[in-house]
Amino acid sequence: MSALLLGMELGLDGEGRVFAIFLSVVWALSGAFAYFYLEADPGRSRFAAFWILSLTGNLGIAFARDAASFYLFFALMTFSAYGLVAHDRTPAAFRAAKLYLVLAIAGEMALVSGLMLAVELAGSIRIAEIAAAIASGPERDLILLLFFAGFGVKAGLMPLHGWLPIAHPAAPIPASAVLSGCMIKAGLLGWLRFIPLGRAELAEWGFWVTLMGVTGALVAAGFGIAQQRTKEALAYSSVSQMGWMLIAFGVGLGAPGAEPLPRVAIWGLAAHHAVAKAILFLGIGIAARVPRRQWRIVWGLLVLAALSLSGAPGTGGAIAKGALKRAMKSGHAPDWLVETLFIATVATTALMARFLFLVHRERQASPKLGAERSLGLWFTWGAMLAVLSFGEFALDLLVGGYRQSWDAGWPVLVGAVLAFFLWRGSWKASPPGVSPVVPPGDVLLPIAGAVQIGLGGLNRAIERERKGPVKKAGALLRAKFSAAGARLEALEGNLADWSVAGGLFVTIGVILGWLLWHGRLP
Amino acid sequence: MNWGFSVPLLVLASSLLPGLLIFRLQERQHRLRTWLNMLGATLKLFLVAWVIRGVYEGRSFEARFPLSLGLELSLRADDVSLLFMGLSATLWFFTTIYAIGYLEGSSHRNRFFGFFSLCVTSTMGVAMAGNLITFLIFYEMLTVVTYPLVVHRGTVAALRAGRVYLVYTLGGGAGLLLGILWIHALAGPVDFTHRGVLSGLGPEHHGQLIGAFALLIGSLGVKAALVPLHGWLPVAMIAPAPVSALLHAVAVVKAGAYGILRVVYDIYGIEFAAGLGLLNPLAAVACVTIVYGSLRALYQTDLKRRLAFSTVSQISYIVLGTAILGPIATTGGLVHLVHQGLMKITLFFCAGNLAETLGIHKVSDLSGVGRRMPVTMAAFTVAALGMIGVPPVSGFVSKWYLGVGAAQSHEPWVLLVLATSSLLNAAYFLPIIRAAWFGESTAVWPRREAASWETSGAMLLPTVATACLALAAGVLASAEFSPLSVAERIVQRMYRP
Repeated sequence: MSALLLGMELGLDGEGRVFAIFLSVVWALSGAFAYFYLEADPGRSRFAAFWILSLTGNLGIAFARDAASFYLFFALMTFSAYGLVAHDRTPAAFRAAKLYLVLAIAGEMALVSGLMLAVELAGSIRIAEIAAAIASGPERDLILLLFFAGFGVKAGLMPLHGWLPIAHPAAPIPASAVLSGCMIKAGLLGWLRFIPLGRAELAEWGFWVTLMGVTGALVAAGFGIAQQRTKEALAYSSVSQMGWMLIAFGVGLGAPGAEPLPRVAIWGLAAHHAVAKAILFLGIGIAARVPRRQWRIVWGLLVLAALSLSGAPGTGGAIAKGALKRAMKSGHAPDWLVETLFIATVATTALMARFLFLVHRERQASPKLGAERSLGLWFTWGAMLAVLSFGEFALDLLVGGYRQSWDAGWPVLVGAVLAFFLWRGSWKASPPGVSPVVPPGDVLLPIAGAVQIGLGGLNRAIERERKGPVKKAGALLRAKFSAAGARLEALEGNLADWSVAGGLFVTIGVILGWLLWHGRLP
Repeated sequence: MNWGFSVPLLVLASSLLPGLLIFRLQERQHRLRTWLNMLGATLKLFLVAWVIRGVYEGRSFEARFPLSLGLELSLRADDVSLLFMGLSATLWFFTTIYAIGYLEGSSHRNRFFGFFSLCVTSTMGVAMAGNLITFLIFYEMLTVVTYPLVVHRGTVAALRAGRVYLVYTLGGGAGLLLGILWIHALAGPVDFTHRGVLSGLGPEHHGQLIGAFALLIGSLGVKAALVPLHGWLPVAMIAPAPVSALLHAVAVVKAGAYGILRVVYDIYGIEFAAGLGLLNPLAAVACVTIVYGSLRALYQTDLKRRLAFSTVSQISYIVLGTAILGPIATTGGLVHLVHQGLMKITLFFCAGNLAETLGIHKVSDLSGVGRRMPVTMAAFTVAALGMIGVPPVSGFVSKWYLGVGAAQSHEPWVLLVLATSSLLNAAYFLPIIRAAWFGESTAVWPRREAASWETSGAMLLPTVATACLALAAGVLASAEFSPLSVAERIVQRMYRP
């Protein structure tokens, strides 16, 4: 493979294997769901083409061993996902897809810049060597900043997450599932691959990263609760859950002795979230299509999946979050940090409750459905639920047999109670279709507006520059030239006169003669 | 027969003779003309391949003729010239096929193809020039023979564009002559030598050397479209598509960039130039051009003008690679010479296809054209993605080397310029791709015939071929004979202690 690109090297290590497994499972089952879900869609084959390309990119990232191949698959995934987001071809879908691509490309530019600096530092494009060289290099902080920002756009790092709540809901349901479940993890994998965990030099970074994770987890959950539509709420939930993984990452950065626990905790959180989030998204799709009798079953199963995501005792979520707690303890994280997990779980539970409420409301509001064939949808969705349930055991094996205690239940209970009061108080009464207090995209919207204005001003300035002073200067010069030309013409006319010419000839002849006479030197 | 002497001359003759013969033909003898064209192009391709193999086996190809005043005309095939020669020969081959298809049925084709062949002759001469005076001769010849191509259509607008073109390029040529005279006054009629010939001059000459450098770069910068000397390029877009393709990918702009390369590497020497403090201003000019070109391109509504400004921006990548001290950056600049040529010519071929088949000149008319002309738009997509720097198209490889090279010489601000330029490239290429593939076609286009291709084969096949080459140069970048490997070999010799 060394003749390809800049020396392509593909292979699977342990981490790659974990990601490859859960990514492929979620992609495959979501793809099967999409097959049935989009039966009536005329653009199916288009969707399938973009789907396969994105899938290749997403999986390829797990296999890449050198930076160029990594970026190749990353870019493939990013650009193909445009087709998924824009699938519906409505103006709103195009707007969402454009926003997604603009931010994704900006992130990739930061990412590539970081890669170039890091590759130069390491003297090689092999990822293992790059990660090793970064920690002790002189431009470490710049490189880390670029990596965090570059991968962070993809991974929903606040404040670079603004595109997520706009793009994920704009895509068709199966695409939203893989966008939130799988493609978001590509950013995470980038962090895991390129940023070395457990190095003493990066301890300071660890603190800030953990702080950002906590902020993301809490703030995104808050924004999500304020949403009025199901898919937006789930999108914010994804941002929030990525905050959890960032907390684990920060712990790993800041505590050299804790390795490999934080990394393993991240794997657990990522794998679990991928499956659970996909189930929730696909559940929205099923909820809109099943007849009345089956609706309650759907809602019940969604409740179970939501509980799993929140980390109720007995679920995979609890295992994953337990692993995180253990990693934090082993990394000597301060107590207040461990307590924030409590609040974060409360927030997640409340957000899940909000989601369930919204699903219920949307079902009630939509016209009577039910004649659609939904066997295929049930089959695939059921398979994914099975994966979630049985996957618990696999998760247990992976993160190392964390014995669950019922402590995990307290924050979930608190969250549920909180949600109940919210429901009684404001949710029940507010009408659907209202704009949410926090519009999807939150911080991004004013920034995008400012950029538009800035670019427009720049354009006008350039146009003025081109048309104004330069043209005037050009006209002035031309006028001067023609005036000079006219004068030259007149002068030449004079010279053509015999008397003038003859006189000049004689004068020149005399001067030349004198020079020759006196110029003769010995 | 002394092959080492005659092969450079044969390379020139392979396009000069057909060109002169074509002038003598009658307008209706198009079969003969096509034969002559293709014969010349194929022959040149073979000769250049032979030269490349010969140089790798260690043979030297050099032809010298004394001119007056102690000056010599020197044609030499060394490794740097191989890069340019290979690019020119390959792209001329494809452009010839394209031009035959494009100009089908139009008038004055003898004139066109005659000057076309002379244009490539001059380009080869520029590539093989072994010293400054030879370079100058063929450089000016290039100016003169491209003028009839620019004004080929004969309209008022074309003539005006030709006038602008001449004003700029002849001015640059005059400056170049002065600069060369200055160098000759300081150091004599020097040949292009690895690592430069001027380092031996003492410090009392340094002021003059800096002045001469500025004059040379300024003059070469006209053809290389450095800001603010780039004004002729968008205006020259009035020329037919094969001419734009040739001008912007192979002949004129590359000759300017190639000249800058030669001056910095083989006259001054990169380390000496760095010592004189010449590289940083050059890098600054290159960066300004990169960003300015991309910004202007963003606001063009005409497709060819947008591509023209994109060229302004991309050629300066080569200049930037030249201006950064370090083997990796040098490799990036050298290899971008080839990669940019391949990608840009694909883009111009596509623009020509769209204009000729569907009458599309403006970006806003492109909506939905992906359904009508999928192959053309696929080629456009590949080339455009390469321009943005998306792997595995070759543009990524050259940008990568430029970036890593900039990091190596501790100039991280260059990375910012590269990133900004890539973002701007995305901003003006992606909407075109989006409109073509995702848009709805509102215009009424000529319907495609039942069993035929979307446009004439002579126009479609070169487009596909150059797009595939642009892709292959990236995918197979680490293979033995890729442009990247060739560039790395050149640089190894350049920086050897």
